[in-house]
Parts: sequence; structure tokens; C-alpha cells
Amino acid sequence: MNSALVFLATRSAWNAVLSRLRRLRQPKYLVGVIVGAGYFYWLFTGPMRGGDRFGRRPRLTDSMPTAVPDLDFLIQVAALLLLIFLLVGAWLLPSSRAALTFTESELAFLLPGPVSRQTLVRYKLLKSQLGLLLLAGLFTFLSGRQSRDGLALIHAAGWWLILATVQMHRLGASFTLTRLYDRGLSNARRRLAALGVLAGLIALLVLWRQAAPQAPAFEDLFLRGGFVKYLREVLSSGPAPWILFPFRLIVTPFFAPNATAFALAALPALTLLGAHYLWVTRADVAFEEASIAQSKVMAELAAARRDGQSRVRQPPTLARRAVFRLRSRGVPWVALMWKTLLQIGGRRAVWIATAVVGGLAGLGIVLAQTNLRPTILGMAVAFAAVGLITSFVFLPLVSGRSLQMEMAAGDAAKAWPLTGWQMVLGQLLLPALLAALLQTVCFGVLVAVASGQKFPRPDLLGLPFFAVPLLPALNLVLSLVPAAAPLLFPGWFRPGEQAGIEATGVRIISFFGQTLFSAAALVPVALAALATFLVASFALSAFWAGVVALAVAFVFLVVEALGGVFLLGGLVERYDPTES
Amino acid sequence: MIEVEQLAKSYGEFSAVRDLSFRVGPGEILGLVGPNGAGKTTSLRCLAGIIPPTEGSIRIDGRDLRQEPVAAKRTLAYFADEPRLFDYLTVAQHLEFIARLYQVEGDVPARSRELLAQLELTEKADTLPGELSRGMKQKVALACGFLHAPKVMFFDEPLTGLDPLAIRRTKDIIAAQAQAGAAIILSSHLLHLLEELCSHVLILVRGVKVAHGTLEEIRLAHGGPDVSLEDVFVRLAGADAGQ
Repeated sequence: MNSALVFLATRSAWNAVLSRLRRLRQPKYLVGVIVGAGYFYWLFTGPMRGGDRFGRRPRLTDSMPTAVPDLDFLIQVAALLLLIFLLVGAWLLPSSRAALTFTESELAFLLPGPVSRQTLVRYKLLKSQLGLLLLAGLFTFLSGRQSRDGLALIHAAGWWLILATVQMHRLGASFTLTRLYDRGLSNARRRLAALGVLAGLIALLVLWRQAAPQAPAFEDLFLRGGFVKYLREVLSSGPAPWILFPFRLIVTPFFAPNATAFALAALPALTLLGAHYLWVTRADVAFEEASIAQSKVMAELAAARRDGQSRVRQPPTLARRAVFRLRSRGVPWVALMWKTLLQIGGRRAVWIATAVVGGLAGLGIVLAQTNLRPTILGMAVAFAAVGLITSFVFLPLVSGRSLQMEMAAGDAAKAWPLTGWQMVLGQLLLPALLAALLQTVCFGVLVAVASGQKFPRPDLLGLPFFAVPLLPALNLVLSLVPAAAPLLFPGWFRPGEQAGIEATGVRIISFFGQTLFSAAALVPVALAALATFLVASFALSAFWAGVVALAVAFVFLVVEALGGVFLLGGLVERYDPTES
Repeated sequence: MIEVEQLAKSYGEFSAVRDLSFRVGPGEILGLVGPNGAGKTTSLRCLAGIIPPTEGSIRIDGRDLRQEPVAAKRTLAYFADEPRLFDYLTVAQHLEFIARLYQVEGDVPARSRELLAQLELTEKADTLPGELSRGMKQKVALACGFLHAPKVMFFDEPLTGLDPLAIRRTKDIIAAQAQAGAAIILSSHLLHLLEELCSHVLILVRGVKVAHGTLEEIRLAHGGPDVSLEDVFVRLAGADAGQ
């Protein structure tokens, strides 16, 4: 390969490693890498993978000594089927021209540079092998085969052979199809031709079926373990061995029981891989334009991720109707709520949300008053529980982050004629109110299900009813901590953080830190409510003592929320996005 | 020397560029003008060998771009509107990479140092692009483009996002390259820049050449010696201008 491209790949990789290592001088990343490494160690070796608390796992063969040969055979068949699907799909599914994924800088330097197409293809193929090797290592880990028989290297190499062959075959297929498109083949004709070949194969199999071994009775097949035996017979008779032969070549090294068997199996697999390599690198197909388009999409996705979004958001093409008319006079920060309502869909979204919430509330009441099976009631409870968890755990995080995004998006927000607390209230109050609405409905469903056909019962409805006014203030308090954290520690809460062990560690620390502080903010409220309840119980009934306790909790929450809004407002006013 | 004969680029039924022919000699600067969507960037990309044309031939310094793409590309430099640098190569390593890619002969380190000094990048030689401003990145892209002493250069909106000082220096650099004998094509919406820099102008509308010649020839053909290029452009682009 062109030595300049080797220089580019190796030097970039080395500089990336150095850059990551230098990053560890920052405590954030040093702590992050320790926590991240601990997390991945736990993920791969700990209880999640069936091990004990020290990460030790029983060997699969210890618990299933007799089942393994059948299991291996079934895994092989499944692997073959998956491989056939992937390779045949490469000819059936794509509808666009062949494209190689380049970074924008690669496009800028290499396409106008003195590099032939063949060299570019070789460069991309060889560069992608590092990613495939890492993927092979990950798959070996996830499939647990390294601990099953101690042949981690063989399995990793087997995975790599499979992945590399699939990658090259798909690329080769896309090159061939592009060449056919250029010669006038339409997508419909191509799919028709591929389906014709498939139909021919199926017809062949149907003919062969008449001469194939007779299927045993249902009981023998599935209840007496005859299925695997029959499958072995079917796959070793008629045209099946011939049809499956090339696919077997690819997967056999992975299943090799020892190094010698692997070496013998790898030889034909490598030959096949080599043939694919020649096929791909010698196909002189114009992939440049499709690659530019693909790289543009990738760059947009990367930019969206840098902004903390998981996907590229297309701007709406239809204007949305505002939920209410915004007059030029009035409380200025209401404009932020008005804008947020438009962003989430405007009037139509409010109608839909109202219909859904109303429908759910009605459904909860109907469910409670009819004699339905426990499974349906259980589903209603599960939905309500999910709604509550989402609203209490994730919505505060999302709304808190929305403030950070607004602040980081540009200078416009900082230039608005609003004080800090107005910015905060305008950004956080609406999500808090919406979450309160969802929580009320979910609580309602839970209470309705709990009270059964006696719903609505005043004694059961009483306390939750008095608790409803607390919810907006509670949500506001919960969203203040996630909103304040990025402003206090901008380095730790940067949207679109890079990938890697240290970045994962930083995210874990951030999440637990925010959860801990949110819980701590509620401790004074809970203590005040509990103390009030205990004192009030001497003079009042438990119900009314509870009501008084809720009232005290409400006052505490409102004071905390307002205090928090003003404190956070001060942070917003002092926030300098260029320092983060 | 750039020679273009009946260049055409189509996307299905849509013709982005049609029947485009012209030549740019050594020391000449051709300004490529047209409304948005006229086919300027598509033409430049075809000329730089980034995308293949549907029809026509392109010769760069006497070499056919289709027949000898690598040899032809070795003599050209393409400067995109947005400088795209490799995240993990320092400024100096970018030049090392280019030197290898284009097989630059002679004292490459000395030439690199000279270019870095000329573009005021000496102190940034060991810096990664992430730490550079947009103007600095643009300068790095220029240094990379000039390192192999190309005989043909394509600039796509070269002044976008630059401060006045950087604009002045970039203009001087482009003029100096032409004086040194390079054949240059420059695409820009800044018509006064083209009037200042270019020896020739080519106006594209909907992928078709509607005017081509020296500035004087174009003025004389479309209004008289005193009309500005802007007047000519508005007259020829008509309803397409400002789209």
C-alpha cells in the first residue's frame, strides 16, 4: 500500500493514543478511566455474566457435559444460516451505489490526491481490520467461549475471519451491483434476478426433499431429542453439503477444537478471503460520489453527537401552531415556555398528549371497576410504574440538560434581556408541570388498581389527592441538580463527550453524583414532613396528620425550588461557555 | 495548464453541468461565477478528479485525468471551502504526509519550514488541528496544497470565514502562485475579488456556460467597458441570481 497512507494510519493511531494518555493528567479522566475500567471488568466478568462476586464463573462444560456436542452443532447451523442471510442479503437489499466510508479529511486529501481507486480501497480495507479485530475480541468475550474451552485466540481469529469475509463480500457485491447499475440494470430487475436464483434453489431443495430422509414423527422430533439427528441427516444429504460448502469454509475455523484443526480449517478460509480481497480491490467502480454523500451523513451524525444528540434532527418542514398567542407584553420568561411548547410539537402535540393522558386515566378507572384478569391489571401497573420512573428519574435529567444545551448553543441566550432566574424558570417550569401531569395520571392508575371495584374510595384517594400539588415543586427541585451540575463543573458535564473507557467512567460518575445530590436535596423535606406527622399525630387522626405533613413538605419544596431557581439563576448569569 | 472539452455531469435525469469547454493557461486565474446550484462546485470537483464526469475530457498539465488520474493529480491542488484536517496529525505531520503522498523531491524539511514561516505557522508546527482557529486551519490547508508546488490549483470559495488580514494574505498568495506560473481556477461569490484577482471569468447558469473570456471581453460583450462584473452577472444570471 502507498507508504503515505501507512504513515497516515499509524501516525494518527499513535497520536490518538498519546492524546488519550495525556488526557489522563486531568483528574476527571484519571478517575473516569478507573471507574470505567472497573465497570467494564464487572460487565464482562461479574454477576452480569453469571459469575460470583469475584468474577469467577463455572465452566459451561461442567454443567452440560452431554449437551455440548448438540449445542455446538446447533450453533454451527445457526451461524451458517446467519451467514447465508448476510451474504445473500448483500445482493438483495442494497438500493444505493457502492460507497466507502471516509472521514471528511480523508476525502479532502485523498480524493484529489495522487492515489488510485485501487489504493483507496486497499487503504480502507486494511484500516478497517483494526476495528474488526477489536470487534472479534469483543464477540469472543460476549460469546463466553474464552472461558469455555480456553481457546480464546482461536475463537477471536475465527470471528475475525468471518467478519472480514462478510465485510469484503458485502463490499464486493455493492461494487458489482453498482457496475450493473451503470450498465442500465434497475433495482427491480436486480431483485427479480436474485429472487429468481433463490426460487431456483428452493425448487431444487423441494425436488431433493422427495429423496431426503423421512422426517420422524413430531414426538420423536421434538420430545425425544430426534431433531438434531434429523437435522444432521438433512444437511449431509442431497445438494445441501454442496450449497453449504463455501459457507462452511468460513465458519469452520471458529469451531476448531485445537490449534492444528484451526490451521487446517483456516487455510481454505484464508484462500476464500484472499479471493474476496482480489475481487474487491480489482473492481474499478466509481464510488466517490456515494462516499462523499455517506461521509457527509457521518459528519452530520458526529456533529449531532458532539452537541449531545444521538441522531441528526431534521428541521420540521411544516409550521406548528402555537399553543397560545404570545403577546408582546407580559411576563418575559413565559416566551421560553411558549418556545418549548412549539419545539415539542405545538398545539397538535398538546391535543395528542391530552388525549393520551385522558385516555390512560379513563382506562385506569375502567380497569379498576371491571373484573379483569390480573395480567391486564398487572400490565396497567407496569405501565404506570414505568411512567413514574421515567418522570422522576429521566425527565429531570433531560430538562436539566436542556438548560445546558440552551446555554451552550450560542451567545443568543446570554444576550436575552432576562435575569438568570427567569431563564431557569422559563426553561424548567414547563417540563416540571408536564411531568407532574404524567405522575398524577400514573398515581391515579395505581390507586385505581389498588382499590379495585370500590374505586373511587375517598380514604384511598385522599392523601394522593393532597400530594398532587407537591409534584411540580418536587420535579423542579429534582431538575435543578442536573441543571446546576454542568454550570458548576462544566468540564465534567460536557455534551457529546468522546467515547472510551474514561468517558464511560466520567458518565457513570456524573450520573451517580447527580442522583446522590438530588436525593440529598429531598432529605430535609422528608425529615420535616416526618417530624410534622409525628407531632401532629398526637392531636389529629393519621389521615389529617398526613395532610398537615404534606402541607409542610409542600412549603419546604416550594422554598427549596424557589431558592434553587435563584441560586441557579446566579450561576447562569456567571456562566461563560468559552471556559468549558 | 487546464484543458476541458465538453465536460458534462449528470445525476440521473438531472444535468448539473453541460457541454463545458475552456482552457486555462499557465499564470492565468479563471474566476468561476454562478448563482447557487449553477454547477460550480460540481465542475471543480470533476476538474480535481474527486468525482468522475459523465462525459467529456479533462487534461491537467497535459495529462488526461481519466486515463492517468494519479499522474494528473500529482500536479494539482484542490482547496475546499472548509479546511478539513486530520484530527490526530500535527501541522508538521500534515506536511510530512503530503510530502510522501505526492512524492515531493528535494529538501522537504526546508521547504516545509519555509512554507510554515511564510504562513506564520512555525510556532504551531507541533499543534493538533483541534487547537487551531479556522483561519489557522485554512493556512495549514494552503501549506499542504503548496508543498508539492502544483502547476494547477482549484480554490472553492477560498475566503469564506477569514478575517480581513487573512483575506488579504490569501489573495496575495493566490496572485503570487499565478505569477509563478500556476494555472488557477477560483470559484467565489465575491465578484469584486474576482475582478481584482482574475485574468479570465467564466459564468455558469444552470450548468451551462453563458459567458467566458477576459474581464474586458466580458464587459464589452455585455454592456460596455464601464459596467461592473456584478452588472454583467445580474444581467446573465437573471432570475437565477439570488436564489
